[in-house]
Amino acid sequence: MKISKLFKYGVSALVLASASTLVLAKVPQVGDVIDASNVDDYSDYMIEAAIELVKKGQVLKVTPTSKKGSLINPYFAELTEKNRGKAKLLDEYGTVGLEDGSPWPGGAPFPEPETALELMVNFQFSNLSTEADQWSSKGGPYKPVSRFFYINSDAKVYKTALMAGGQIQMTSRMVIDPVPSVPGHEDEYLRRYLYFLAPYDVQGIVTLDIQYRDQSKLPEAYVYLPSFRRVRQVSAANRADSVAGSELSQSDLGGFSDPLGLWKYKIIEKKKMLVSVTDAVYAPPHPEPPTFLNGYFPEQQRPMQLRETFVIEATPRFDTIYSKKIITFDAEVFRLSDVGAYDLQGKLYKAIQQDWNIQQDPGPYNVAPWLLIYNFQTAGATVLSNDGLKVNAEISADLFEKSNMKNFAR
Amino acid sequence: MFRKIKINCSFFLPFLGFALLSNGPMAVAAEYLNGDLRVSGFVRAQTAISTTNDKNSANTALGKSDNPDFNLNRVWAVTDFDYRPSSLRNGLFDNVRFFSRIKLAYDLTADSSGGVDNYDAFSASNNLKDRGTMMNASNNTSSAEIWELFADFKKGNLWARIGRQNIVWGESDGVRLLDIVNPLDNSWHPFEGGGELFDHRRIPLWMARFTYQLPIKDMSIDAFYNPGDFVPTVQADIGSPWNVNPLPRNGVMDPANDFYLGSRSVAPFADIPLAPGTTFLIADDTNDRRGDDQWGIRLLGSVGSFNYTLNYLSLIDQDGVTSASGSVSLFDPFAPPPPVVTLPVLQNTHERLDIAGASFNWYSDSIATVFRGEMTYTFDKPFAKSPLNLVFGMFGPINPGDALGVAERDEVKVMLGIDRPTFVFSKTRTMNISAQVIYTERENIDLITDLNGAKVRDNETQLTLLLSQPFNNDQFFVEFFGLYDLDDAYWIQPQVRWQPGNNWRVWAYYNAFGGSESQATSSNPLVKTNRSIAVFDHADELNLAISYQF
Repeated sequence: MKISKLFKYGVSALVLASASTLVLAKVPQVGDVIDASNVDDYSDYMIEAAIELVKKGQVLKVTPTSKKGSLINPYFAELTEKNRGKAKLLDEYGTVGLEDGSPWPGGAPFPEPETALELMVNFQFSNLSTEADQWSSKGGPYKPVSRFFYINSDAKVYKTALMAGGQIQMTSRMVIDPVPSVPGHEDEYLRRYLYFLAPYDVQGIVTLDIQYRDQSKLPEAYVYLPSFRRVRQVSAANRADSVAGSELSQSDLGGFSDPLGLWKYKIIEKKKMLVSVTDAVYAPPHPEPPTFLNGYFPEQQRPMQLRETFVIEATPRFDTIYSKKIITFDAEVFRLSDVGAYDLQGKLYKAIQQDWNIQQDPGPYNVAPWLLIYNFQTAGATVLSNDGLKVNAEISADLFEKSNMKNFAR
Repeated sequence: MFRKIKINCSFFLPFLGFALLSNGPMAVAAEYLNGDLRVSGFVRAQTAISTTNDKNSANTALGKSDNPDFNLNRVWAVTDFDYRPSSLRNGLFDNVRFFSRIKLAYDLTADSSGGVDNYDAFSASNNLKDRGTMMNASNNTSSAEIWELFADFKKGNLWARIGRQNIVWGESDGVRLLDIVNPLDNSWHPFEGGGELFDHRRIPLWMARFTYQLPIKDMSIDAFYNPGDFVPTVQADIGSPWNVNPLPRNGVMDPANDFYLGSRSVAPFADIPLAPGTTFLIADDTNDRRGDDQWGIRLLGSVGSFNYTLNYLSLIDQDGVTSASGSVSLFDPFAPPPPVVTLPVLQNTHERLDIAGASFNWYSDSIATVFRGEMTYTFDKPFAKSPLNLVFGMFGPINPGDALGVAERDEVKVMLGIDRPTFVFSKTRTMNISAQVIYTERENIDLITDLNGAKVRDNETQLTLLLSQPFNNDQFFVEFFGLYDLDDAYWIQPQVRWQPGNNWRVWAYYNAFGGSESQATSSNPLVKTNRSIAVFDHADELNLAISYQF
């Protein structure tokens, strides 16, 4: 056989192979509904954990891709531009600041991240802070804002915890005085409290987390127990410990809640993926019960956009239950969409999903009405819903003092 | 040793009552006024099955039945009203809140248990002057009370709580060093399992409390003022399985009854009827103290994860001290003098205590452990003297001053503890491990004895250990609490709890006490020191509780 003929056959084979791949990996189109019957067709656009959830009964709907800039708070975007190029990683753990070491003044520190660590720093400022200085319930600091729904392996909600809560940036404050830092707290990143309202035996428990700018440092954690009537300091070291008996570990709040220095990061790829960035259905207000699709999923059709996405592999530097987490972050707004957490044998352990929407009044601010965590090994799940959350609401900084914790309860 | 338990139908009464009470319409906390008012609470049936034949010597000394089948059979309910009016937010005050806790209880112990006489299960305020401050109504078996009632106000850095409330300072679990602002109700079940149950025994007092956040990071001043609502520690009534006091109560001894003094019976004379109208007086200044103010102040601060407090309290001794103040002669009405017996006249005094203290907690990253510490220094704490201290010379006692009244000595208490959550049985849920050592030192206590003829210990050391392991998404808990007194006494309490869902809670725990009830001193083996926790060995019991919360 002539070489030219061989070349022709080879090219033909390659064309056929490519064509067949294209048939298998269907490009998501606006309006596509993805369920267990067709999820494999979209596997190139989803991480394994997200695919497996669809196989468990979740349904996705591809929605129009939002215009650039429409998903970011304008002032946050303005600060990002204003401070472009000024951010400096102060250590290998992800502590960020200005050249002189002072706190980051606000906005995304690395608008075009070149490393996975820079991306994670952006995530911290965009996701946890919701691009704002503080948040609480629109009804005030003592009103319900979050609910934990505990779901068993029969896909039934067997327990519900009701919480008020609030969060305040101690540095990188942008809008509400004091800007840019709360005096005396320049070493801190944020403070967050949760005030449990139900069930009765946890009613009055108040937790306070103090997260530091120094990303090698564990948070300080305090809990006020009304039956003991004391503020107790508790260890924040056991990151794998369950949060109030839920499927969430201390590491999993918001999808990823450890100091950045506890993990190493690698960008696996940057490409178009299906991510949740907006249009999530709002959680029903307490005490209205939500309806979970197939017992687990907060939305009848989870809205997904085809967007430029970073896929990050995070591997722990410490002894924990996870061997790695695979996380998707939107490449423009740096918010987390999906997480796959793997056990020490490398087997898929948990899926975590965060869903987003935009609050307009005041706003626009991004809020996360839902966080789902599903345990593949037990078929148990926990859904965290947020309702009535008011971003940049007036909330006094002294609410976040340790001495104030007792004032919430008896 | 375990005993054979006789269970009659009354054993089930608490559960029947509980079932009736819990069959209400509310299954979750009720919210009114757009969620500003939340109403929540629980109904609980609780039983403590005695598992020992050991006698309660306090009841024995008073001629009462002393071997109950049940130490407790009670149905009780708590309802909390928590009102935070939105209309008052960010007005004159940043925030205003009103809170009240209502408590109802029905005690069936005396009715349902063999081996126990009738007694008043709700003796808390029976003899208090101006008892209206207690806001309760009760008879021997049932009680209704407004347990807590306060209002909170917040304005800027100042927070105030005014009303009937509990205040807890310090860092210790299960032992009270700085946690002494409120007295305890020991009348019904002093050895509960866990903090929630313990808290129901703190008696709220009418006080004003203020916290001012200083313009320094995490530094504040916390103070309280009690204008006169002095309430002593409530002891169980005579005849109760929890009676620990072998002395007659209520100020006046009825001479028509046989009576005893401490562990030394005057039984040889007990059958002699006393002269009508003869009274054996026990002076008690409890009601004189009603109206005396109490106060405390502390500074709270932090240096990183090191948090500290400096405390000062001016309180009135809640426990009181019973000492001899003189003597009284008792006569046989059918026989001429001389008197049949001369007995000391007793007094129960509640002195003002000045207490300085400090506490800290600190988290060590490197060993993932929280260290806690607390200390109190009580100036001139009163201890009872006793006629047994008398040393007789040729012309009578040479040290009469050591026989009557109280002696004042300084006392230091120190607690050091650790909390370390550790993965033991599960990789996703830690076991909470807490350990404490509590040391008490008393100044120059050698001559002091109490009325039982035992010395107050000049120092003592206790160790505590708490292990708590949740399973199955915190629906099931296995716990262990142990207290060991280095002078050979212990209390251990294994516990299981089942907490399925939002409403039902079930406890089972066992209390076991043991060791030496008194110890010989190092200086004189014939002189016994004061009693240890081992005196409660009659209280070995299995506790069961079921609760429906809403």
